Amino acid sequence: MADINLYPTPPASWRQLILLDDEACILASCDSIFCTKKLRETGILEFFPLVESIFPNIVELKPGHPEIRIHKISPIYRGLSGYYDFSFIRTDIDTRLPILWTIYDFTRLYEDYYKNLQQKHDIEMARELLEMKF
Amino acid sequence: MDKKKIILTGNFGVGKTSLFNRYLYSQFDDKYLTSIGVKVDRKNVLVNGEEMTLLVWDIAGEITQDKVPVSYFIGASAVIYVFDLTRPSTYKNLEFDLKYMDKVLPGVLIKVVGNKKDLISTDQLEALKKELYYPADIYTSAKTGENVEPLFQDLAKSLKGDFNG
Repeated sequence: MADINLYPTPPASWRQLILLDDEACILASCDSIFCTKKLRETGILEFFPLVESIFPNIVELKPGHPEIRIHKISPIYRGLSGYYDFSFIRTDIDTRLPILWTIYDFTRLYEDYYKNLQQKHDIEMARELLEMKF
Repeated sequence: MDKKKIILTGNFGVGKTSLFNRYLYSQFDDKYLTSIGVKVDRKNVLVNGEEMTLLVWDIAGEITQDKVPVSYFIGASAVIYVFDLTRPSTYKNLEFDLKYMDKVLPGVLIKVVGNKKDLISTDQLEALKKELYYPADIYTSAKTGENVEPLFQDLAKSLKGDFNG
């Protein structure tokens, strides 16, 4: 397993906060990981099919509800080329009750996890093959 | 337009990502590269002249489905449970997994898929069918593309509620 101490406190750019309305349009973004200018024209769903597929569930969230969190995402959006966690929560920071979408950049951690998992699966499948032969 | 979330799930190394890549991008790579989380893309299909969007989730393989994060199942309309026809370990938990998914997603449409059909003979396939707790709905080969398009097309028809199979 990866040693967690190898992962120092992440830099400020490790997460991005985006406020969405119920039409999946961006109200505000800190743009710390990627620029959202292009997404502001059409809304985010066209670029993020993962969000599109659960957006009806996200819209149902009420303030105080637990977040919806999806781990280890490999987005197809070209501006995000690593591995991320997405979380969605309904906020009451203003009267519009926007949805707070937080993108956590865990690329480095998950890349190491990927290497370990690949090795584990390769060994497991080789073992299964040997067991079937003998 | 009607949108449906479909999950590709099953043990690791059964070919979920290969089915995903074959269906969505018409691509196939022989090299096994594990998946660690989730990748999602969409494809528009025509069902009886009406357009429908399939939002396909390719999720990391787990030995049993109770290891899959429950958040991945949110909003799913259908599950494609994939196993490898050449590896008994990938279908030995079929009964448990199907019952588990029915509990997490009550009444969800589940298609059981035996993949890597290109690696076994017709006789081997017939023998295997007798072994299975639950017969696969379809046998596919992501490598050759056999039955991949029909798998998703039939699923789309089922989700429209006019499946005759």
